[in-house]
Amino acid sequence: MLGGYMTYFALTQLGLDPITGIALTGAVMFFVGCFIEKSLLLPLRRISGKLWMFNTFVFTLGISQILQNGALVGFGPMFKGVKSLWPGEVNIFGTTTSMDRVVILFSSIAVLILLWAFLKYTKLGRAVRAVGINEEAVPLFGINVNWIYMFTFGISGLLAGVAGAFYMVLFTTYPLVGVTWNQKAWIVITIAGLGNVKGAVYCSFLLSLIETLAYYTLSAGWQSVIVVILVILILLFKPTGLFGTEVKGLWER
Amino acid sequence: MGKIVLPKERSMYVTIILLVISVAIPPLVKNEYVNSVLISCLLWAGMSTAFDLTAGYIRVTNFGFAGFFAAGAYTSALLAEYFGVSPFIGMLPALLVAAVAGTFIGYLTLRVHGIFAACFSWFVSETLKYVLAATPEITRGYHGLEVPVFFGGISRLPYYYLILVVYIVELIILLRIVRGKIGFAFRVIGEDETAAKTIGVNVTYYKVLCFTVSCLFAGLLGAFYAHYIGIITPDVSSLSITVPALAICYVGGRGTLWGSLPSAYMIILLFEVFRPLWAYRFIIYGILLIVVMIWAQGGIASLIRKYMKPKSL
Repeated sequence: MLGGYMTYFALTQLGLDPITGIALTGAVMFFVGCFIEKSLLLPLRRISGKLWMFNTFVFTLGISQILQNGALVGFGPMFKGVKSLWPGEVNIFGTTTSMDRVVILFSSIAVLILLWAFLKYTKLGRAVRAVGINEEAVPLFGINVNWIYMFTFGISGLLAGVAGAFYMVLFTTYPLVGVTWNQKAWIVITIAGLGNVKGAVYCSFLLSLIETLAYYTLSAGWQSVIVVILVILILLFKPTGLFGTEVKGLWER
Repeated sequence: MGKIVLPKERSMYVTIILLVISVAIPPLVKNEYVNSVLISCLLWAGMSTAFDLTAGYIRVTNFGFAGFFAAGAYTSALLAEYFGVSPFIGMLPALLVAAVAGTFIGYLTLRVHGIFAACFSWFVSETLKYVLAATPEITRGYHGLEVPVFFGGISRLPYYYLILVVYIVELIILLRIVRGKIGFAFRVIGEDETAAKTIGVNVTYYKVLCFTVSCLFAGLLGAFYAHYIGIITPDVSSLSITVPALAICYVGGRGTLWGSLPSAYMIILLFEVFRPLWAYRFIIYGILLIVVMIWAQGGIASLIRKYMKPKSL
């Protein structure tokens, strides 16, 4: 939501070109994420001790309430969007789509590959995964856990911001735009299993196909029912998710 | 009821004194506006108390709390609408439906991890909202379902005493549960699940039990709400019901049950006194939540305890 608004203002008020605008949004959202982690979540983690996971969760709900309703008061309930950034259309296998969608599709794929490569091959990415597996052992290897938490939170802020920007370019943005996406993201990771970028990608495709099919065959509103039933079945028969988890630990406490 | 539940600590008298004052206010003040404010205070206090049972004892935050509230509200409302069931009898099926839903969702999610339960019940409640909105031929969707009310006439006094009785009964039942063997199991699970398993507590059983009882009261209060307001929309299943309950519960102090009442009085009266704040209520709930979680984990209850302690020593 913030990412969408930020890009909107970067493009309309500052008159930046799309790529700079989205990159700027990403950078700002990274720092916003880091700042929230450092200023609010770190003290919370210090106080809560063992139960920090549970507390952090409620806490972020509070933060999102403030942000969403703040946006509602500040920006008003109107839908905000921009005109097509990359005009023109493309013909792919006989189907015509707008250039915007193609550009954003490839940008999303690029972002995903970057994320995956970052987690898999860089030292920092390895440290992030290590913290996920065992945060108590990690300091023994000279990794600053609190810094990693901050960095990871920043990265997730960046990704969410960029996703919001992409969404704003294709559709529009409004204060509560993030709510359904938040839930979809959660459902995808439930189905895929946590700590699994590749699995999450497969499951996103699966989920969107199922939703679209449900949307076509039944009326609107029922697609989420189908998805819930799917999640129920998966939780019943394979509670760790379809693709199993690479990273255990944090969520099992 | 065999024994009367007596307060085991002095700080609990705050809630009891508040309750006694609540009984006395309407006959003395005789103001319909005051009555309706008090009704909403007690309704939210009841909601937060039920919420507290999961959030404070087994440490599962039920983001889908509103879903069970809506399940109760719509069950009772639809029964009254289509079968002419009296609202008083309708409360019973409402409570049962919410409890069964709670057992089912609890059984599905609580086996895995606490956070799954939180997210999943949240999603179920949002889905319930979509379903209610997508079946206008039964539930009238966003046009709102008109529900017969409990008592004819314009006075809110009967509602006030009804919710007061409901709240007191709820508090007594929950306190009895929490102080017995079951409550001890809840507490152990909340502190350390592995330890609980080690000493032979059936973790899943008690977690589901706790979740079910909490949902049961959510359903009961939902039915009350439906027949008090007289009209319900699918929005009763949204986060706008869960967030106040959550915030009031956290401000009151988790794991106390009695802390919710002073907290509800404080927050609802704050909004009533400063009407312009109402527009920003969710921001304020969010800020309250953050402030309480960082600087005052125990909430109002621990402040009261701190104040009372020197005397009791």
